[in-house]
Amino acid sequence: MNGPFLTLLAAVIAALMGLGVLGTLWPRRAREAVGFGTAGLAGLAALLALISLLLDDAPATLALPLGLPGAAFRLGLDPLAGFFAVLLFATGAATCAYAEATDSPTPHDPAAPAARIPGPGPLPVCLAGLGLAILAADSLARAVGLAIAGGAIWALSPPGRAGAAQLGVALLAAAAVIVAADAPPPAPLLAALLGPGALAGLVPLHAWLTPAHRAPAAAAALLSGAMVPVALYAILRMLFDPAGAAPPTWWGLPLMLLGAASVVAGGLDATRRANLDTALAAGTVRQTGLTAIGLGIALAARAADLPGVTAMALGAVLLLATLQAVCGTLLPLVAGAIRQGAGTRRLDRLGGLVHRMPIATTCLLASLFAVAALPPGAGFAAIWLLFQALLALPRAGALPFQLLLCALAAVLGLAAALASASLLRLVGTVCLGRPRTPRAAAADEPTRPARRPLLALAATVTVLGVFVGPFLRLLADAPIRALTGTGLGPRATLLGLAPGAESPGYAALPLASLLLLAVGLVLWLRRLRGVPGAAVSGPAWDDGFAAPPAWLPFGNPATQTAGAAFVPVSPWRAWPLLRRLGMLLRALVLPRQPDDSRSPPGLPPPPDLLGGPGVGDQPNLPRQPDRPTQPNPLHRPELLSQSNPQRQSDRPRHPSPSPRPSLLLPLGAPAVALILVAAFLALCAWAGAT
Amino acid sequence: MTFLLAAFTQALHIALMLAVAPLVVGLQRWTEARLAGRTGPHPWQPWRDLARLARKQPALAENASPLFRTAPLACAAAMAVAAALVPSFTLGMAFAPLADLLVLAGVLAFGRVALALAALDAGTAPGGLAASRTASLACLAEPAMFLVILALGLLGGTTNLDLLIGQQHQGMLQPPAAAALAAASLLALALAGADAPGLTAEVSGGDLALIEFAEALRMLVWFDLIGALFLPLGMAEPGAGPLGWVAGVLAWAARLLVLVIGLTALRCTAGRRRLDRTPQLLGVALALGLLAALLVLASAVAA
Repeated sequence: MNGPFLTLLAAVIAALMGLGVLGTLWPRRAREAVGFGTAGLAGLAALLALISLLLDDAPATLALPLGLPGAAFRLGLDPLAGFFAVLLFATGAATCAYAEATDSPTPHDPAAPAARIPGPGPLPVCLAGLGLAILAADSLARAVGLAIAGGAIWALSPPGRAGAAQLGVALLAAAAVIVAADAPPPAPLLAALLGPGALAGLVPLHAWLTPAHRAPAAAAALLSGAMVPVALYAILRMLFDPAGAAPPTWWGLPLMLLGAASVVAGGLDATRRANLDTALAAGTVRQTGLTAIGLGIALAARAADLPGVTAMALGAVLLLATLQAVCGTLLPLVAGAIRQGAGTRRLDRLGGLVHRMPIATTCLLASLFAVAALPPGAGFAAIWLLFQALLALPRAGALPFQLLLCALAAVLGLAAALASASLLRLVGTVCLGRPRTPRAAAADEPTRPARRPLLALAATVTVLGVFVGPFLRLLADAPIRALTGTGLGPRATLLGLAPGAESPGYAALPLASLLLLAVGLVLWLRRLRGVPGAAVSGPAWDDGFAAPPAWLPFGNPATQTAGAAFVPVSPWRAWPLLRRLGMLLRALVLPRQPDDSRSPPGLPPPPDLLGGPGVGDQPNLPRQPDRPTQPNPLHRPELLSQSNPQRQSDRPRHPSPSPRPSLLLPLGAPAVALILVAAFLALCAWAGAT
Repeated sequence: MTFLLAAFTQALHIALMLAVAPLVVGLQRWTEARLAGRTGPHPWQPWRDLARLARKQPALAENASPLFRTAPLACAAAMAVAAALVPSFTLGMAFAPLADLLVLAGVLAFGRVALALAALDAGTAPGGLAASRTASLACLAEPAMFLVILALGLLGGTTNLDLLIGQQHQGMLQPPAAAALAAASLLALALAGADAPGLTAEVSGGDLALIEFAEALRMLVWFDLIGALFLPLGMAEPGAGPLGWVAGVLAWAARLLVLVIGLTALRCTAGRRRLDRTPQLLGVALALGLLAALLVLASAVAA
């Protein structure tokens, strides 16, 4: 069947391709026309897809006069494709508008030397390729679309290994799409994890994402705001076959495990990286991990025949994809604006931008707030949905599966904490505080035309958080119904989200109104009491320390945090016993050196496993003077006192008088491990028996 | 009629919470002083301090941004909303459908993040240290909180606070050991969240009054949450009349008194906890939360 919207969308994609050819052939003369044309066409396509999604149009297909002999490419438009087309073209239009407004190179921008400003060609080509990947009805067309988009972003990126790696991953994803098309059951899962999964930044193959973000702002925005959602779309297409039977429960497990690993790895990286854009790239890995957890929950719930839970998890997935599209576009663009305005992307050279770049600061704050799981942001709604799906899932499996669900709940909490730590760290070091360099103190806002797409995206994501219920009801319900047969139904209402019909849930709109009302009441009370004079401004109190000397115009740089230690430096401090267990395991894993024949067997002092003065007691032990310099790995002091460097420096001064014998010492390390394993097995057996 | 009653109890609850929050802080300080053999300030003292601070002209650091004045407002608003959501003397208040445990955790986190942003704004060492410390402690506290919510959700089949308390009131949250573990975990979280030195070093005047009020509200929210979830004795049912409310208020006051004085006594006798031991307290909270969830799951398998 042929639908008018699909035909129009195909025409737009063809026109975008034509603009790409035009921009490549005459990069100087056609620059302006191509820029405006791309933004306009992308906006038009977004509008078309939105209308078809809202009208709940019947699925349509269209055979193209292209393709392999005997196998012409086919396009198709169903609600899921419509949803992702809206995301792609709307954010793509914003990216184009920003690129059009800032394409004149600045001489101070070290990241984009004037010699290498990409022509206007690749941008529309990338959008066309991704549009083809979304609208494709066969795997070959989707693979071709992904490959075209990868090539276009590679053309936009600075020359080097990062861009090539990005192209390689895109081609890998395209190959995986083709392989998975007609393969027997477990192959699509593997292909989805290694192909589009890698393109979205899922853990084992996520390392390429960070260097690839060091491209010009538009390329980075396309990469994380358009490419990643399309990769998620490809995963959805590969794993959810509405016509076929539901895959078995275990299909969800690798997704959940890899998702959890991505959340932890990406979240920790996002609070540790020293540059703004690389920290944001790590945030993409974290968000992809959350999405993968949602996909895993949806698969497991579908296998267990829990349609409501599947719908909730898929709702979270679509919400996270939307968030990734909007914030993944906005954040690299803001990072680009900051790099252009303040001349650097290093956190330890920025600071205090809120005074010079209030609009960029607002956009950064709005988008990081949306991904940080804080109500009433959209990220909180996604985490809430994931948690509610998790809560209904224990019926789907036995005790080991339920233990995994407990771990996932903790991972969701960790994701929330890491995301808000990332918000605090990036906004706190880049926008707040004192400027760290003269360049940052004289930063400039982006130009007026460049501000518009930024502000529009920031407003979108803020509104999305408050109206998350209507959003899911209007736009995400039809795709979910098309994928699994059951929509969100009463779980998404005007006011917010609910875990089921007639049950209270997360009411986003009332909560936001209550917060605003409380702020208003405080302001009103303050007015009522009379303002006690305007606030006076003076030097910071700073615990009473003297003002810095005049030759430090921005104060002492050592007294201002540059973003270190926003996550626990040594999380094992919370569980000292576990830390010692970890040390034990590490000691077991390291190869044991052949011992000196003169030392009697069993005598070498093992590490103190249960506290006490630690390894500091080594000097007191009898030691052969001619002992070879290679000590037993079990005795390596740096291994055991890694988390506490203080102790190492204390050691010579305070040698402990006598080593405290530990309870478990006579047994030896392997025996301790065996006992622990046996205890765990016994616990599991007991739980299974009762 | 039912809605009017619910709205009335909600308004009464908010007024009570706002009035009592500084009193709870005063009571804590008074008990601490008495146990140490000092006379101690009057329990009303925090209210007097707040009134004095609110009259003062705020002094801002030179490079403070507009965010510096906004953050105390946001923090106070978040804590006021949290206080409005946690039931005190009656169930079935007007905002009961909003009172989701995850939302509560999120609102508390919102207040914390707003304060930490303000602390980073002046660009001083104590503020930066306090902000990074807050963020890194949250990485241990939030998983524990989510595990406790998971355990409670599995126990009661919902994460709505009002429904959970109603079930506990009728003795339906089984097994009680899991609920007790969850309560202990929440207690450890509340204690660990109590110390955040340096966050307000640069704030003064009316802004400081707002933040201190918000901190008092936060403490009260924790006490109230633990008390109402695990000891809902005497709490009025949704349809109860004025007599039930009076009984509920009395029971609430008794509960708060016991919790505040008991905890303060515990803290005084156990000695001051070192600040760098907070991660271990959070580790305990996490382990307790995990145990609670496992216990619920194991008992469900056994049943």
